[in-house]
Amino acid sequence: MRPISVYIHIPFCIKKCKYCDFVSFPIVKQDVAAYFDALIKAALPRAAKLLTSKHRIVETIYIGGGTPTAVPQAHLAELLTSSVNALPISRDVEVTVEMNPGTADASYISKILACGGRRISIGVQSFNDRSLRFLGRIHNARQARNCFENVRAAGCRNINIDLIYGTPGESLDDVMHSVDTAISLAPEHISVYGLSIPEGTALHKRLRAGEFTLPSPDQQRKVYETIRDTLRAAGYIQYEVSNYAKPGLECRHNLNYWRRGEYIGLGCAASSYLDGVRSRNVNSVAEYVERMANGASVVCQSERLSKEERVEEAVMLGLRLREGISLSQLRRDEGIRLLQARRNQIQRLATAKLVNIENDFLRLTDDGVLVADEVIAWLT
Amino acid sequence: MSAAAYDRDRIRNFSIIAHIDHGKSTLSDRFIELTGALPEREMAAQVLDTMDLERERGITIKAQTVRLNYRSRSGQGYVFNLIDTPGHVDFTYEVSRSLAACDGALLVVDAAQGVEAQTVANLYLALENDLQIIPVINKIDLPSADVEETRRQIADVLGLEPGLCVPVSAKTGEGVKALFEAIIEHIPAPKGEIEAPFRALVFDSFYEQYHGVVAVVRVMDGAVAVGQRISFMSTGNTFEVQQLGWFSPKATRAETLRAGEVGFVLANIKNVSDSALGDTITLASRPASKPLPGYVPVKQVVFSGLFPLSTQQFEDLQVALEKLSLNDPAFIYEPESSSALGLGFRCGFLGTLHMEIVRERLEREFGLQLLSTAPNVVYEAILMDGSSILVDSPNDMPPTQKIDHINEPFIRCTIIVPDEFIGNILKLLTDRRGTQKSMEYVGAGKVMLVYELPFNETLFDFYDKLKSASKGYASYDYEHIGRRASEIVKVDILINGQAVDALSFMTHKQNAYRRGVELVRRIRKQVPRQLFEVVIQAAIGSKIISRERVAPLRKNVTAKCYGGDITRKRKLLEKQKEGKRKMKQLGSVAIPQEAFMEILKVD
Repeated sequence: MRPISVYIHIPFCIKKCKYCDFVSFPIVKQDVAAYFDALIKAALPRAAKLLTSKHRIVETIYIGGGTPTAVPQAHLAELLTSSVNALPISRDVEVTVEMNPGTADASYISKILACGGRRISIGVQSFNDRSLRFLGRIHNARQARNCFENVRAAGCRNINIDLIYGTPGESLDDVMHSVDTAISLAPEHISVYGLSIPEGTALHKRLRAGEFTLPSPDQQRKVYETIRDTLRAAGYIQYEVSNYAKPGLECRHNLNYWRRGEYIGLGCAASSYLDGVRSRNVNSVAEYVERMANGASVVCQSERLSKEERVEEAVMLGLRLREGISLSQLRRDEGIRLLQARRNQIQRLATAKLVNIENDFLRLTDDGVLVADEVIAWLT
Repeated sequence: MSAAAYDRDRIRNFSIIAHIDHGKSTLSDRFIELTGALPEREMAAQVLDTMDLERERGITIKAQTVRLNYRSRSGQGYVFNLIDTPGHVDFTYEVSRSLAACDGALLVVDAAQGVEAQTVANLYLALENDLQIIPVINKIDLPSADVEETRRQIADVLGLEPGLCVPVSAKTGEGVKALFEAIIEHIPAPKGEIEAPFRALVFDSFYEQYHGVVAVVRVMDGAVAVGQRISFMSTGNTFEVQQLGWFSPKATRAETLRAGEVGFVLANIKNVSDSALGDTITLASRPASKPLPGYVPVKQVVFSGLFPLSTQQFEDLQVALEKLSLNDPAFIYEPESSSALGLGFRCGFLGTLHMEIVRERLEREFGLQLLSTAPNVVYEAILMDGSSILVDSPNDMPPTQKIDHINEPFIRCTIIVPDEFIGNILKLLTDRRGTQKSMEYVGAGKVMLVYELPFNETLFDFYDKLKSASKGYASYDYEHIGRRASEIVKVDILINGQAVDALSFMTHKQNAYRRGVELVRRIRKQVPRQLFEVVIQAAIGSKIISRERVAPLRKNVTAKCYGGDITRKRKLLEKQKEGKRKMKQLGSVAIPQEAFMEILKVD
């Protein structure tokens, strides 16, 4: 039995955040009902059949969005129950549900946990109200804290807090207030993302119009390093560029992406990687529902990776992990001896103390992580 | 005289020579029109300037010659061979060959501008060829025309007989018929022996797609006929004459060309270099005992590396250079390899304008994108052992310890400028290491300066500075006067300690520091931050004269990369890689092509 992960996309939000370029739509009652129907009655059985026939065992399930908790709790509860019942899951399956602090109350939270949710990822983003307003979040800092406390009170033993730093005008003290607040709540996992403003978002338009500027690379670097050092001091281990966890409580679902494991995506706009093929489902809710109803394929793009592309991905994803790339595994999987194939580049990076090689692993140093994109480009 | 009849006494061979914009092309047009050679509707403005490029620059690159029939006031038929000449200082040799084909010249002076630098230079060239000069005062229709002052300058500055001056307006045609009569009266009929062995001077040759090389010649002695075998006296190569004729201005075929006539020769010649400017053609069966005087192989004086922006265009560039050199044998090229720019060509030109024209034609006519390295004059390195070598590229310069001294080429330049700007111009010439030879007042508030200065000093922004220092009024011409010992050093540009071949340059010691600092600063502005620190230095030998640094990147990392992002991120990475492939290697540092172009730009 080969391990696999399952991602389920819930493309509904109460209001789209200003920095978000994920596929999401305002909640419309009929759409939501039809969509969950398609997931539960068609997508899950189809996936279960496929995975069983391919002898895959589900190690992690991740319900993300959008805002999964934006929909009435009955829908989400049924989806969770059906998932753990229908799919061939392993005994210690990790089941994560993303939660917006502005959506779920205590009973909603209890329902999620009762139906099989084991890990809750709370999109706090900041404990500063000014930053939350800038980002266009629907909640304030107090609600975020309450949400966390409710999840904990409901008995969840694996909680993540998502934070974003780098909003305009935010001082280092402001950021560290958020980080310190998160630490004081003692979640098992903290993700801290530098704000990025993708094209096509509301903030991108304002940025281009010069209404605000982002912090300079020097400022961003200082903030990043301060956050990293503070979280380390508080007992969190940085295991990826933006992810920190108490020992043994890393997000297994995400680790699987970075280690190039297989996954299937259910729902519109979800991606899959199975048998060496990456594919993506259609973006539209209506089209997804219709295709599912007709028993048709929901895939809109797919590509089989070449060996060169697989090696590129191995470097691109593996170097994001602080454990780095296992050179022996890359040799076994792809037949490439990276140290030889990229000798000059690696030597130069090592001399500049941007990478190191230890016990079979090529990994970025703390300095290397800060310029990971350049190092990856250099190595691929 | 009909087109076929031959009467040597009724032939007049002459050129129009003038400072740029004094109206040479307009006057040529008027000649063609007023002799009735072309119906008016076929007269595109300035018919003698054919190429677009020439029209834009207002100069004539390839000489074209027309044969015109004119009936004089006394009722006699005459043949006028109007020999067009290139109008720029870089083409002195071409001009001198065209003038050698003439018996007289019309020296055109703008009545509003007066005598200018090229007027003087062209006059000297004409006098060297013993030509009868008719001064022509042009643009008399302009309100600002001052015919009398111009006449005075022609007498005082040029030393010509003021009584010979013919005032005209090439634009309106006024006075042009009088000029025709003056030509008949003052320019002598061609000399030469019809019975002597055939000798013709090649004063223009160009490549024509269907016939190969078209040699334009002036027959000095004897005659040639279709079917005869001719021989080029500098090479001994022989060809059979396929066609003879002249341009009037359309090509008109003839069976023979005889002493005194001007026309074209087609003889299945494939290479323009086989029909060199200034060479003498004779008959293979009855060769002349000696060639006509004055033939000098063309000498390239400015060299520069030309490289395709994208390395895939190397072969396209090679083909383009081959094609272009069919038409312009005056530039030469040979393969050159640069670690920074890849494969390209080291090219030699007659001057900086010639260099610009060739580069522009390569880009425009062949769709190439080119990088060119800093232009270089030809130095002579005198080595310790007493031997000497010519060096046209900084990278060919022998190591300093082997060199006794270096000689650099000098020019003598003539500048005529309104006296209000004289201070600016003197400062510019002093900055450019010039030595004053003479300074004299030529009248109408103008001063003529004669300076000697290193040719190298005119390669970078000299014309622009000259123009801005005189609000555009200074006129300029120059001639080469040989090499002189000079303190020339080679400056290398080092990127992280590694010399970049394409950026080395030669300069006088006193300019090395300034130019080194400027170039290093310019590079620093163009090098994007990288993973690693970049140190840019300028050095003379092992001595560092300038240093700048580009600090390494501080932060560049994608915050999120999960299952749905992977494909997009990989595509981005591939795009980045594709961009990297197009980058140019500056030592150990890759920089975008545009940045490299900016660095190599010569202001």
